[in-house]
Amino acid sequence: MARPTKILSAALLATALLAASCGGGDDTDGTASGNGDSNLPTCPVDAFKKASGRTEVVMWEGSYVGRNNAALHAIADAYNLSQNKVTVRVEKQGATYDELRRNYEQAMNGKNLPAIVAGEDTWTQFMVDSGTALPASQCIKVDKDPRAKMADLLPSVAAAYTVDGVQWPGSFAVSTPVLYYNRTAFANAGLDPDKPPATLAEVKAAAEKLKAAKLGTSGPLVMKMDPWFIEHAVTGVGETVVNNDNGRDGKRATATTFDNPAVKETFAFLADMKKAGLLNAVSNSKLIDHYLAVATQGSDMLFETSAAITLIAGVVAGNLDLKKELGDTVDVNIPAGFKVPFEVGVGVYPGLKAPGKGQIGGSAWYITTTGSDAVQSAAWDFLKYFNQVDNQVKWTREGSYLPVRDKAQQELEADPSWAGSLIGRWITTAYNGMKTLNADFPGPLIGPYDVFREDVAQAMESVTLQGTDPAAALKTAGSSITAALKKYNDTNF
Amino acid sequence: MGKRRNVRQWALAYALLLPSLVVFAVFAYLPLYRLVHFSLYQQSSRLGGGERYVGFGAVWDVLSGERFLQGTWITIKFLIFTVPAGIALGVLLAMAAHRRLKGIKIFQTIFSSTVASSVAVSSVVFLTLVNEQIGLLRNVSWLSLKSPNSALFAAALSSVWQNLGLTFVIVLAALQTVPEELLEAAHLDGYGAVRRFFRVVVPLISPALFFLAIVLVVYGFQAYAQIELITGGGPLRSTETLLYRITKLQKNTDLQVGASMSLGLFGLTFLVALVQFRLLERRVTYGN
Amino acid sequence: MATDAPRRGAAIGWYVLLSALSLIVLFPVWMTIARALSDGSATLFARTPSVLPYSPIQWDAFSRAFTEGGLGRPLLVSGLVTLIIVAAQTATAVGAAYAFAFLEFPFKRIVMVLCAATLLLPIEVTLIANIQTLQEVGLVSPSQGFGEAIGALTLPFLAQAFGIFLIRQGFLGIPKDLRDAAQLDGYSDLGFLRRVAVPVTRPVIGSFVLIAFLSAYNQYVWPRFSVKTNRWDTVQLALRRFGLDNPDQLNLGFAAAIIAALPVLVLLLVFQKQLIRGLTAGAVK
Repeated sequence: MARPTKILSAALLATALLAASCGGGDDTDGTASGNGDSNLPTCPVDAFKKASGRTEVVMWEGSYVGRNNAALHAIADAYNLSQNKVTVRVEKQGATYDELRRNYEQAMNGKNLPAIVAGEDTWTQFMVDSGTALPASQCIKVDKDPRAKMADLLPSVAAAYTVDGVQWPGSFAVSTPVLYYNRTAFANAGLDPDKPPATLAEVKAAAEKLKAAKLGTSGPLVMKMDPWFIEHAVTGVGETVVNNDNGRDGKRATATTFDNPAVKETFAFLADMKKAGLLNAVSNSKLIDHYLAVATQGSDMLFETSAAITLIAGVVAGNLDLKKELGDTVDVNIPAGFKVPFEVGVGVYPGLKAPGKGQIGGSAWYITTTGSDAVQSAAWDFLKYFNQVDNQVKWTREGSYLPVRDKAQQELEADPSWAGSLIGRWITTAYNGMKTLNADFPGPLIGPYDVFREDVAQAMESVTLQGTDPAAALKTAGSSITAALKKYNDTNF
Repeated sequence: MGKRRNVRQWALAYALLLPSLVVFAVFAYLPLYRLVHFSLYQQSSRLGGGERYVGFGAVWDVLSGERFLQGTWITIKFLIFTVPAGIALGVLLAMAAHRRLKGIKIFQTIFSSTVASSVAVSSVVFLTLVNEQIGLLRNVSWLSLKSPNSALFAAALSSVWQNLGLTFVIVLAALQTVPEELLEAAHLDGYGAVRRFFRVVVPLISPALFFLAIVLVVYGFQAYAQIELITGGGPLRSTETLLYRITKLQKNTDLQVGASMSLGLFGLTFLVALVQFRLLERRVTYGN
Repeated sequence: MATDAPRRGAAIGWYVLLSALSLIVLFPVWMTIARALSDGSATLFARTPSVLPYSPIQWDAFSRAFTEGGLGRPLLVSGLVTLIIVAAQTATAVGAAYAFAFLEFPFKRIVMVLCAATLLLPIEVTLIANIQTLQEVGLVSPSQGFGEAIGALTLPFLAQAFGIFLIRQGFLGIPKDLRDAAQLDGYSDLGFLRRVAVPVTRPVIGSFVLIAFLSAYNQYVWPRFSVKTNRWDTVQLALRRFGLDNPDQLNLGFAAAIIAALPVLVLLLVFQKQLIRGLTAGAVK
């Protein structure tokens, strides 16, 4: 058996190689097309009204859990009841954005995309390039329905999702990082609980005080090694992370700009904090450890998303059934009825120079182009419904996503029972932080943002977990990302 | 036998073979062809963008690139951690349990019991020992999942345990074929226990040990669940074996890299198979 | 080595050693049981880990793995998938083995080599191409239904080369006299296969069935990527979901791992001899 098998399988491999290399395949001419808006798809407004029966709109998401998820489903159900031409069906297609993205790209092969996809904030360039998205501004332009235009949409939100004058997604679930801190520990360490640190330098000073008071023994600041925090700090002082003006000057990014002072300073912050024993660095692949560190008082300050506000407020109040809250996908492991024995505060995310600024986070909803006119127009109709102020209020009140319309925030603040509540106060803090964002500098556009995040997370981890020199870590990440940018631009034919 | 009978026999043979051949064609040879194809063509990231020929140079770039080499190295480290230890422990258990004692069957059953655990089961089992939050041994530094230097070892340990049953069973079966007269003769010649083991027993069970080595190497190449469930590939990608990497490369635009790496994995499996065939040939000589 | 019956003192020494080794081998299993019996959050918040269950001991994790963890459904999926694979692999292997062992036909040698060479193409190597193919035909998709999922889980494993050659080896061991006698009795090929060849090689086929069961039931990688929705998770995939996903259900996850191993453990205890023969088929022959 031995010999013939060997020879034959070698021959087989050779044949396969030959066949595959000669075999045609639908080769394309390879001309790269830019993203100029001359050939943008048109929006078939109201086409569904002429269709017979109800048009089904499938929406994919991979990030809404607990109350966020319930709020989304409630709004979709209410929409379905409010008219008889469209049925919206929300499907969870992954427990993480990565999984959702994989499913989305795989569905591109089979051409069975959903009508709406709730993509991560990092997807913008990919959605623009993929040829699968119907830009919302195409619909806004031609739709005479007054609901189509949102004059009070926060300029920073619009700017983040606008590329070359075209706004791509139609609806949003916006979040921003905030500082959660243990007010009790602050007081015990002689810090003012009403004055959370506003800059990274102040965070370090506070951490030193906490450490001197023997509080936060695992490192007073706990932080997941999530590049989001770096990007915020860097964008906040108006610096870029990739070239071509963060990929926004009409040309796609082709290289990183990690040698600018803001990037270096942010990484130096990580390295210094770690060296001084002030940082409890948690690997980016961990889902729960950083929450736990705060719950068990191993750490007293936490950088996390504002989307966790409802959850944390519930834990603090001790009145949340966490299991029900989180469903079976997310993972904060505080047992039901657990009440933290300390007071928690929320502060605006501390920047390099000033608090706030940063860039828009969360997710955005895109209409896809592969559906029929009826499906595309029905999807747009649902987004218009979702964007109405009353639904936006519901979206914020029941989940923790920040209002994107000023009218929604005003309506919320007018309700004293909300504005005075822990959640209301915290959301307002986060909202005020988000309002400081610079609409003229809305953060980077990166095609392979997933690779960017992965590589920067690796750099952060090797600095904080392995003690690598920040410059060396950044260099490794930089060259890997630059290669990914090149590959991305090459594959977008 | 007439011609008609011949033809009938041919028809019967192919009818019996047809189901197997169809499965092999569709799920072994077609994918081999497609892997080669995907490795030579870059898929577009654009809807309906098709593909573009990138050629063997691109395949070579992947196979000589850092990600492939690093994945290969991690896979090899995984083999170094699992194969020798697996064999040694299998021999130890088998030597201990290969004797005439009342109730020895009970011990033999216990030693072979880990055959019942799948990779997923044994990974979950080992979470009770090595997980950084709840593991009994979470503070043992050489098993720590927190460090890139030790995490792979923790994952490998679960594989060693899971394979114990198999290695034990195979070595025991081999030991049972060793003629007792031979050992007695060696004993009479004044060989001590250690010499008897290395001079008489090991050569006689060496085919089984080689077989075991091959099986464990193949298992090592296929390691996936223990990585996903115990380490998640981290920290710092230190436990991303080749297969683990490949599975992360299934997006359209990654297919070229993923397929090239799959062919690389195929090449490595092929090498192991060559060794295995050599071995079989040698064993034939032994047998005669 | 298995030599003279040892003296009493030596025997006690061996029992001590064997017991110690047994404890080591079984220790991880004990830890899993201990954690299955402890409340999930007690496990998480324990300051120093213990080898014992944390009090209060909770006995209901094994039933809750079904009621709250929904383990029943994955068990059914696994059962069905395993059944299909084992039945199909046995049938296709017996057929192919018979053709290779007893029939003459053109290109026999090439066909045999083609079959053997598939051993070089395990599912791990062909994974991404096979997933791609099944995606294109719609069996693997986020909206896959029951039939599609079962198809995706089983189709690549309906035939397998190892079984063909193992059973062929068994067939070749049938004495020529028996064949000739059967021919004289006027048995057709299929009659011979059914009445003589299969019954005579039952031990080999039995061993193969057990091995096929083991590998089909324990699979992880292929199901992991061919099942795109929790609804059709196999047991092994369900373990991942339990994993550490749901912290106050940690104990259910550990209970589920024990439950998942039980079917194979039972097989191992009942069919120990056959299973061992199957496992060692390649090593000692």
